Amino acid sequence: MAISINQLRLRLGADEPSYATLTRLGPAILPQLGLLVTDRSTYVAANAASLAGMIGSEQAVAVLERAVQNPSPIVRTAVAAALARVQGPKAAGLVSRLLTDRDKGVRKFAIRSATAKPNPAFASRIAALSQNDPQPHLRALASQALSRIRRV
Amino acid sequence: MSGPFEFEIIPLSGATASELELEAAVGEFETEFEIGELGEFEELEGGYPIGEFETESGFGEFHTGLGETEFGPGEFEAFELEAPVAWEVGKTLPECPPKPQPVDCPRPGTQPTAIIDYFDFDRSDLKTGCHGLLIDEIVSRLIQSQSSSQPIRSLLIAGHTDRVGNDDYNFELGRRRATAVLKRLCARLHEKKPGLARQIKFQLTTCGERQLRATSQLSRRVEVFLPAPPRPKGCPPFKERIRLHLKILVWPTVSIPTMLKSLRQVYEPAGFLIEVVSCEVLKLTTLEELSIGCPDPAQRCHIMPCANSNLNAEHIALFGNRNNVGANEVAVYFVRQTDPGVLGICDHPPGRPGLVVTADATQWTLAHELGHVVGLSHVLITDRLMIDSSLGGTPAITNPPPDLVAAEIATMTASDLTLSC
Repeated sequence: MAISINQLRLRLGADEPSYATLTRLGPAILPQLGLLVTDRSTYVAANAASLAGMIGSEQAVAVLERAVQNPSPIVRTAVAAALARVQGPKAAGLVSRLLTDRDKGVRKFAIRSATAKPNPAFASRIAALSQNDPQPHLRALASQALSRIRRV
Repeated sequence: MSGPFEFEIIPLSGATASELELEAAVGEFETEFEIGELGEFEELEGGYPIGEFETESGFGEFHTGLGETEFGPGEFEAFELEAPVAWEVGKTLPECPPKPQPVDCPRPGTQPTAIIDYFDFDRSDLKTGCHGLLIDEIVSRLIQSQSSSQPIRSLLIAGHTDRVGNDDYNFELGRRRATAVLKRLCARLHEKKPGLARQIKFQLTTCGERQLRATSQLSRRVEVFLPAPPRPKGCPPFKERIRLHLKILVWPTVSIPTMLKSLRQVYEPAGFLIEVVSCEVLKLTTLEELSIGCPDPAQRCHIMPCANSNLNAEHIALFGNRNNVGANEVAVYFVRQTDPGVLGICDHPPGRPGLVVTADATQWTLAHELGHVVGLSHVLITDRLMIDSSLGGTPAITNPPPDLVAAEIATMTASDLTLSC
């Protein structure tokens, strides 16, 4: 089903976007999502990133690479969470980058994504977070993630 | 006007003590003097300055926060605050009864209209944020009731403490807390509806440490009681009421008073009185960005109007924070964002009715999600509160305020969460 970018924007800006319905639109909407991740509404931009992650595919990672440049921590948090749902070395690179983000929400979901897609390459950064993150709950989360990654 | 008299200096949100600079004019001597910048004051107590100064007419004592200030023996014609707009100087409070009628402490179990808790240990100063919000809610209710057939003509303010300290001290501390609320309430009432305070009988009492709550912070409180509406008349023009408790992890971009005003614009004409009973700032850093993903992919997820199952541990943990919230009362949690993103969500664990509102929410999101909590589903009409996501949800509402229709009102009335007055 084709959908215009305005329609997509309208639906992603709703109180409770229907991600299940929108995901069924498939990779065909990824170019539009690539534009929406820079939307003036950080809420729409964040949701576009989330939806791209749910759709998955190589192209989705390109959308997330664009979204990660967004200065809003709300958008970067959505990217960090979306990365739990996509595969590949580029996605792993984004996770690695977001593990050192200045925003605690971004780091929280980056740690979770690192745990969901364990990769030895994350180990040193997660070890550092488990020791040095200023947020106690993130230190604990990183410790749990680290033991899981080391089992891989 | 002759002294000594009282006034308030109220720090508004975002103000810091070091920004304050005061000037006062002593009428009798037609002299202006500068009290000075805060840095010159001797000490800071609870973030507010305490200082002393001398005027040509005598000696004055200066104590801000919500403390009392007495000047004497000179007469003051003007008192001006030279400070950023984030501060305001309250006028003297001629409307407020200097000695409100003392009464007994209410019996345990009597349901308060509002609970103003989290006073600092051994302090009676009101805090910015929740305290002011709840007092403004009471003021709005008092004003609104005057145009109804049941105008509120009296209220009772009861101060409480935790168990630390001896009985006599806590009795007095409770009184100070109740007095602080009374003064702020009077000042706001005077500001919003001059003359109304004279028509209201203020009753003040202290319970000291006699009615402790689960924690010290919850015990250090002031409870406000509005008179119960006479039966069988109820609380016309309202048929039912919904009691809300605000749990704030992150303050939203659209202010909470704006969201509450919008909520009332929709619910009150439909016959539902909105009571904001308590307000709590939750220091739950880990839940400010909340995962709302469903843990079991095999089960249905986010079933409309509100799912009670397939909620993840983090989502359930948030709803475990129900201080002050009664069984058929609704907790509203304000977080920064969710994953995946929503402006609001009404899914809640069984027996813990509530909803989540995120920082980007619109003025109507709270009303929309509360609609779900009391049983409403989405509709495909853009000028209705329950506008469907496919039409853009509340950001796309046309012709505001949005409507509730008769069938929706009937559904809401049948909900366990709409209570008789």
